[in-house]
Amino acid sequence: MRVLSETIIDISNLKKYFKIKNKGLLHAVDGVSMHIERGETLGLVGESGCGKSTIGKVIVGLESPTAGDVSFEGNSIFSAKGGWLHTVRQKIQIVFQDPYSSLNPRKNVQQILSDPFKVSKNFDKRTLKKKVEELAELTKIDRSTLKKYPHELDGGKRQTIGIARALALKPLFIVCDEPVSSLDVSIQAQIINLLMELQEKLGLTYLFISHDLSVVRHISQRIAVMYLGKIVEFAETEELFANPLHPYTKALLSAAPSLEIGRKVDRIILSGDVPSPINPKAGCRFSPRCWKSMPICEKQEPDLLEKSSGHSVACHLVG
Amino acid sequence: MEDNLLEIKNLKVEYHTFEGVAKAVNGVNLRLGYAEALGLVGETGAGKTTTALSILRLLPKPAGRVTQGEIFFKGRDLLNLPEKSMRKLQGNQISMIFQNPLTSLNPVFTIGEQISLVFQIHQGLTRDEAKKRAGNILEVVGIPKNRLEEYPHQFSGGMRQRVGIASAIACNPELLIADEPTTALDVTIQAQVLELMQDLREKYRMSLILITHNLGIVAEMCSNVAVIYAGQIIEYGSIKEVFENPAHFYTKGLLSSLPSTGTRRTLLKPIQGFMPNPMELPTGCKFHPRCPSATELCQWEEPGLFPVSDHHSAACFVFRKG
Repeated sequence: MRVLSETIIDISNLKKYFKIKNKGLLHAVDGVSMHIERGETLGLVGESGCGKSTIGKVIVGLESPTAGDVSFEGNSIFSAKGGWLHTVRQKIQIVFQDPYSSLNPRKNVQQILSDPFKVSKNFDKRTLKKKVEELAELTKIDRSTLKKYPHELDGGKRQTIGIARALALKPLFIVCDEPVSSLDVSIQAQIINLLMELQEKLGLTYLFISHDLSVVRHISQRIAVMYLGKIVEFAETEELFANPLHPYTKALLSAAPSLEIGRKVDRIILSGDVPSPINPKAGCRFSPRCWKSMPICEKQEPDLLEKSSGHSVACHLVG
Repeated sequence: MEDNLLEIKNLKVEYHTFEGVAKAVNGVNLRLGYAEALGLVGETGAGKTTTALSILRLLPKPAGRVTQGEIFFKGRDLLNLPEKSMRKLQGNQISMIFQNPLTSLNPVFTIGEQISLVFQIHQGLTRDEAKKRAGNILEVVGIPKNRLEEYPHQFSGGMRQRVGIASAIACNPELLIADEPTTALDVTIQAQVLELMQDLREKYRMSLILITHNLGIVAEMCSNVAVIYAGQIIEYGSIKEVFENPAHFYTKGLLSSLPSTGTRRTLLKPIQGFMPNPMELPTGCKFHPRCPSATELCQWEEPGLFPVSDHHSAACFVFRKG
């Protein structure tokens, strides 16, 4: 048997550009490198349009990369063919953000959950039914729910079905693309619990994409902060919250409203909006909004460098 | 002078749809003082927006109907006001900021035209005067004047919401209703918009009803909070009292289902079950099927708001004295 490395997903210098008619190139993901370890939850945070979902989509093969590589258990997934491609497709799955548009409204839950099995192998009807029932039991879906159609279910139940579908082929790695963003708080907690329980039981690895810092903080061991297609800071969760180094991370952490009453925060209010990722200017991408911007920031793009063990940051200030 | 700027008494609202009658608001009682900031918190379908729309008489017609209750604004009975007088209040003394800034602005008019309209209607200004005022108010919310001639699609989400705020505060309203004003925005932009709202509120001494599902925002922006569940206020009090010492089991559940500092990678404590269907609401306390300590009484009798402490009340029999 092949010895499995500790790194399950290795992303190296990944780029994804989109051509925009008459405007130029949209740099959605612009040179991202990181590795995800087996059994961990890696949180990926950033604001809308920063490229976090695009990374997820490239990993599962829903988008093809412009440059760079992603390897799964040591082998590139983009050059995958035949049997290996089949394995990769099974072992890497995704849970989508919006459980309203990610389930086919014309199929009932039984059919939705049968689909992954049908694609992978020719099962006979009885085995298929049994497989779906096992899956439902694993994710605590009622038997009665199996006969229902998506429109009969609320957001939380639908997302559970999205998760069950991702689990059908016994994946090792799941991209969770904002799985709780569209849910109410009390339902959100149910889904987060389900994800954590399943991880424990099945030894899953998650890439957890979210813009909600409190959720990411709760579920992740390590966190990558993205801004305009680049990772600006990467650290273990406690370290990142205790000692944020990048000005953007600091602003992001201070901007989140808190329940602690009377907490006096020196809130950093960023001026302006996130600039357009179409034909981005040279230099640090955050510099137009950064209150500590220096002349060098506008000329030279900072590299993501390790400052202390496991804590990397891309900023000229932190030297 | 009245003590309260706004008083809602036993408001009930129904939506008549093809599937049946949805009871969206089931007896809401609320008071709002002058220059007070009240947070109205609840989950999807709790009746937050319906309550707000009833105040402005903007319920979708003919489905939405107020079946019972009264709403007083500075002593005037809003629900029985003639249409013409109501028009004079809307956008003038009472105005609203909507959740989605992309759909609340008209895409075929420039933002200058849209903001000017408020001045033309309520203050009888000419087009040119109104334009000038629109330019000024736009600068108040931090958008340069020269963008008056642009259309909504040329603005980013945060900027659009600023435009929404500008037209809402144009006539210096006494009551501003903000319905999830930052839900569609990113955190850093949300911080900008909230700061702007806070500044304006202090500057113009506006009263605010802030509708949101984000408890953190309420904790920062408001002095009092009302928690709404299945169309009823189930807890009311000062921010400090309610968040530090929640009384109702729903509020407790809501607070404990939030991930917070120090609870990393542990299981959260969600509220069991789901929101009741507004077409088949349970009898008695609307929360009893999900409540961890429901008694037989809760199944049959509906609790009113009982006092918990001086400035804190909850709709739960636990607090009924005697």
